[in-house]
Amino acid sequence: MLSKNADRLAKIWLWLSALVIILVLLSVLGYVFINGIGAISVSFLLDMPQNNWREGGIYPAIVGSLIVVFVALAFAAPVGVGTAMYLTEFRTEGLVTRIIRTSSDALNAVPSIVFGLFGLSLFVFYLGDYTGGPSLLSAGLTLGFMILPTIIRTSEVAMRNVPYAERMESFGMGASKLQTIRNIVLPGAVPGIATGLILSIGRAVGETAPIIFMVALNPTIPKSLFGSGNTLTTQLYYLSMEGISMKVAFGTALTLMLVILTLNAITRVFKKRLSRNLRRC
Amino acid sequence: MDSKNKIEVKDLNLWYADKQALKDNNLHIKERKVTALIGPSGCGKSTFVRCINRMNDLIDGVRITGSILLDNKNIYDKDVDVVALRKRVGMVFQRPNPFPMSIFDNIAYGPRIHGIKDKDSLRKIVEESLVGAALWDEVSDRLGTNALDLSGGQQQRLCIARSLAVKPEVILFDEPCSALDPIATGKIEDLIHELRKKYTIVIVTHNMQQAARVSDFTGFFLLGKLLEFGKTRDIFENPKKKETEDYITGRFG
Amino acid sequence: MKKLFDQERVVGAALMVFSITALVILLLIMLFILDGGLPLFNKVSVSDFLLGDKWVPAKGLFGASQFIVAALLVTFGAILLSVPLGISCAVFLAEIAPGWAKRIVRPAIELLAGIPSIIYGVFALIIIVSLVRVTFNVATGETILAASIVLAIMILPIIISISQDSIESVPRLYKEGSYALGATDWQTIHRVLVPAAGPGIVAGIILAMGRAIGETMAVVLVIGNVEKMPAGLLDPGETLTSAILLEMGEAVVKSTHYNALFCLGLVPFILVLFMSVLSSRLTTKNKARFA
Repeated sequence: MLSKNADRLAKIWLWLSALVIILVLLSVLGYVFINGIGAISVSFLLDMPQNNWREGGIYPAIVGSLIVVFVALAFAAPVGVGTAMYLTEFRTEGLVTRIIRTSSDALNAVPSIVFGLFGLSLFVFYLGDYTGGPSLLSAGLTLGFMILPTIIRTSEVAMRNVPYAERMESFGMGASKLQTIRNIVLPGAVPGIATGLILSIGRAVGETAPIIFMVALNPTIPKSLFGSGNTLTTQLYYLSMEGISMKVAFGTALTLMLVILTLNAITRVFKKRLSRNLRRC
Repeated sequence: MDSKNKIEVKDLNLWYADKQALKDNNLHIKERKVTALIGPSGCGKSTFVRCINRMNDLIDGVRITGSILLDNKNIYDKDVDVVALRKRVGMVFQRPNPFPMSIFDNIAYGPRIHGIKDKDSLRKIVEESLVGAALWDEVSDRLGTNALDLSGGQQQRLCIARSLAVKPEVILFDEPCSALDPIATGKIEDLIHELRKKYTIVIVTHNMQQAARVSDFTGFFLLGKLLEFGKTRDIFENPKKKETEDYITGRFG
Repeated sequence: MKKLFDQERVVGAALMVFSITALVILLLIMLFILDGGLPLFNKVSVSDFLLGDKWVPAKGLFGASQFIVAALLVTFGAILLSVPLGISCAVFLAEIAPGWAKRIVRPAIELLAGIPSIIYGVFALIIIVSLVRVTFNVATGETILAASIVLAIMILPIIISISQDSIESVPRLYKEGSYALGATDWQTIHRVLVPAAGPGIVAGIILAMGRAIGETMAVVLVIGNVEKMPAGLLDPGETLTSAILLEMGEAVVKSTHYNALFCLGLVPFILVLFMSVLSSRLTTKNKARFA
């Protein structure tokens, strides 16, 4: 039976393909863990770098990453959720929604290095007097632009998943549109929106190219939003590219990886709750 | 003339997870006759017919007990090759489902997967099958066009031709006309009438007139159980069970 | 009766301002990249830029063809490596995998998609580069091929998830029709399901190409960064994006060099926008086909 054998072989190949992918993931994770675990400790996370990063900790990069992510989210979360709300609750499908959605998709496709060039020319050269030039604020805003499409898309899906009937019920009881949004749509969409926000935090924390021209390898704690600082990713780039200290580079990589794994685990919890909610309806 | 039993169903039970959908069904299907299965929707007649070529194997969580003998061989035995079984027992579905490819490739699909590569043989099979399904005259000049461009009734006859192309012994029809208009339905019924000369046919239908028109035998299903079975004329003119009579006279259903 | 101060309309108007932000940012990006790049063409012709192969900023030579060729080679290499694996895995998830396997593979793919590119870069810098060096017995593993491999890993999640979606959206009816004719699982998969899902899968591949062309960090660490026309996959090279990253620091603001680097960014930008439009077109068309 030729077709029987072909079937069996093909299935072995399909199983293997999944196995290969698992192995690739495990080797990336394993590589980062094995090399980074020796470097990482509480003091590594909370100490200042010493001796041009060859010793000491990575505290400034952690603070820098927190700041840029905070700035990015402070911009993109309200704008993104607001856009999603406008698309789902205030506009019927048509030219306007199509334009908004297409620009959001296009923005999502822009290569990260192009965001870097854009951030450099807009925030550093054009608006430098207001942003402090190559500052954490400039970097954070650039990241905010970059994660905006993700937030729009995920929030829109979350709001659309709130059943139409529930809105109608609320209108039927005499509630206004705003009351309906506040009492029905937003509570129902919160798990989905939160998942999208965490996803975007993960992206913002992990991106390098968009902010590489705005942050330098800086061993001091950033003094303000308008000051310069560095982040986990940019530090990792400089340390490994210039071969300054692979030990600290791996420690930084593991720290970054742990952040990503934690965010991933949180979204998993949210997703579980989300599917439970959906089943209840 | 009484023909031999092609299919014998014995004590057939089927569960979807915990829900029992078929209960203790016994039934003989005669060779080269048309057997119609009727009953209200959800009575299990479609589930039943999908047991005969083991299409229910594709659904997760289905459990089956009992046996179905095809030429005295239980198709649920461990050593049965499901692929070979489905080649012998073809199926035409409720909604026409031609593949998104040309008319020719649709018909040639079956022969090709069963190893026929020779162009001339394929062309011959395609023509025979289309003639057999009374579609040849309508499509012979455009075998290369996409099958999805045909009308619903033509698509359904294409699907019949597609199953003829693998030279089955039994053809199962699962409500083949429910998505078609009356004219297309009439053509399919004529075709079934023709096909019974060569094939054993089982047709599930919710249309009682259709069962009366096309079948030699009729079985009435209710709540997963074959309640009554007999010659079509007997079932329609002289039902033994009250439920059967209620159903065919339109008192419920 | 309409109130003079209608809360709903105020909120609606405010949200409208929010919702045009994406468009405004997109337009600003175009404006600033063009503004940064176009002055180059006062000094260098478009064809010299696109076709020239001498990139010597100090001498005013800005031929970018070796960067373009390297970027295309890297991208095609990545696609070649990841498409067979990605589609196989998508088929596995959509058709073959039992529940427990899906519960392992799917989160693994999500995680793969979430790992930052710089971490892939650091991984590739040691592991993949040495792998290439040893396997092919070349002087340095920092090659186009190394970049292709790491990009292939990075774009796998895109290819898998989009292919899986399109395979799963092929109507059940096709599958049943094929099985009813006595087809095996594999025959059904490769003769009916994958062809029917074709346009959707192609859309995923195009999207993945866009991602690969635009990627910077993972590539710059492993490609060797030699400004020379690569002769093959085992040559080092430098892509558009890595050139921008490496030279921006030394370019004087508003100089011709600075303009040229923006033009290097313009190339993947335009390509990627084009690909994203093409991909979403294909996706909508595919969905309409089965509706």
